[in-house]
Formats: sequence, structure tokens, C-alpha cells
Amino acid sequence: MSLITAMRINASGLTAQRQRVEISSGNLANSETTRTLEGGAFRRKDVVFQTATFGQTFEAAHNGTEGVEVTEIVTDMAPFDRRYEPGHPDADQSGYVDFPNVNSTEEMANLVSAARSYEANLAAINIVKSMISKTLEIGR
Amino acid sequence: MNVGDKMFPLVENALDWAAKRQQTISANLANIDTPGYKARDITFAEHLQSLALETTSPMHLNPFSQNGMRVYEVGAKDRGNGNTVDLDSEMTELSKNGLQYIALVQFLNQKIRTLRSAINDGGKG
Repeated sequence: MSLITAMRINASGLTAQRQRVEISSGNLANSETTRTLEGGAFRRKDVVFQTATFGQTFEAAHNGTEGVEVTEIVTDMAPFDRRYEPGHPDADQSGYVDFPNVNSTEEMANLVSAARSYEANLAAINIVKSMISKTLEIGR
Repeated sequence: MNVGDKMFPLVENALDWAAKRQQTISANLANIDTPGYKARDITFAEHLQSLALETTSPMHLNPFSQNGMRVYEVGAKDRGNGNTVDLDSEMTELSKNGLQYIALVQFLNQKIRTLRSAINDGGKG
């Protein structure tokens, strides 16, 4: 049933946007982290969105019914924020510390954008839900 | 009115179209942040036109088939990353399509009610 497919498509949107929020929250939480498992300061992460088809690839592309998925999580290789803090335990010989390349303003904007997109998909799911329940009432 | 009314397959087709259109709207909303994604819509114009015409040639569209539906890319403005989904217009179309679908269902229900009253009460007069 195509309405169920519509719901699944929006559900894929919810999943993708939620992952984006998770990554962005991680960036914000670690905006001052100077030690990571990989060594060095934390690097900003970002999600990559790609269209995703459900099962019948050709038909889905033909009918314009593609969902979305997070294909990879990329690491932002932008330079670290170097601050002069000689007393910091992670300072180098010249007294500079590498702080994460996270920009809080950018992350906040990203979070708001993801929340809006999440809501849009949620609204669509609710409308599809009412369409389906109306369908079930046919002939009653 | 007869039970084999042509109205039923017509409404059924229109419902099917609205459901398919819902899929394209859902896909557009899901891909609102996908770089390079082009917003899509589904036409009903050819489908509608075909309803008024007699099919005298096999080349004509059959009003009771789904051949009249065609997916096309909406010529909207690129938002900078190759994505052309417009949130506001998609949300409007979302409500519009949902209401159209519900209206069709109500129409169908009314039709069934009329038919049922003819069956139940027709001979009582």
C-alpha cells in the first residue's frame, strides 16, 4: 500500500534527522575536549545524507519515492582552535593548546535546522495516519 | 444509478493518485536536507484529460489505468547545495493532498450509503 510506503519514507527522514541531532549534540558536548581516544583534540563530526530506496530500486526511483539515510559520518579536518594557555596540561612547548574545531553557533543553527526538518516529517506522518484511518472507514 | 457505476473505479483511481502523490511529498520532505535532491511532483493533468475523451485509439490513455501519472522535477530554486525542496510549499501540498484524499473517501462513503439505501428501502415504497 502506497500510504504505508509514504510513512516509511518519512520515518527514514526522522531517523536521519535524529542522527544529525545526535552528532551535533556530540560536537557541542565536546567543544572543549582536548583528549580523545584517537589522540589530540576532538574533531567536529558531520553527517552525509543520501537518498535511499526501499527494495524495488528502479520502481522507487521512477515513482519519485526515495527516502533518506545517513551514509557516512565525516570528520571535519578544519584546523584546531589554537589558544595560548601555558598552564594547561596539554599545552605544547610554546604554550599553545589545540582546542576542538567546533563552532557552537554553527552547531546551534544545525540543531535548529534538524529539529525543523524532523517536525516536518512528523507532521507528514500524522497526516498519512489520518488518511489511512479514513481509508479503513470506507463503506462503514 | 446502477451498481456497476463507473464512479467507483474513477474515485478509486483518484484515491490511488492522491496516495501516490503523498509518496512524492513524503520523499521530498524526507530529502529536505539531501544535497543535490530535486523536488518532485506527480501530474494528474493528462490523467484528467483522458477521462473526458473516448479512447478510440490504443495510443489514448485509458481513464482506468495509471498511465496518466507522471513524476516530474519541480522547477524550484536551488537552495545552494543542489537541493530544490521548498519546505513551505511542501507543507501546503501535504495538507492539501491529505484533505483531498479525505474528501474523496467521504464522497465514496456517501455513494455507498446512497446505494445501500436503494438496496434496503427501494422495495418498501
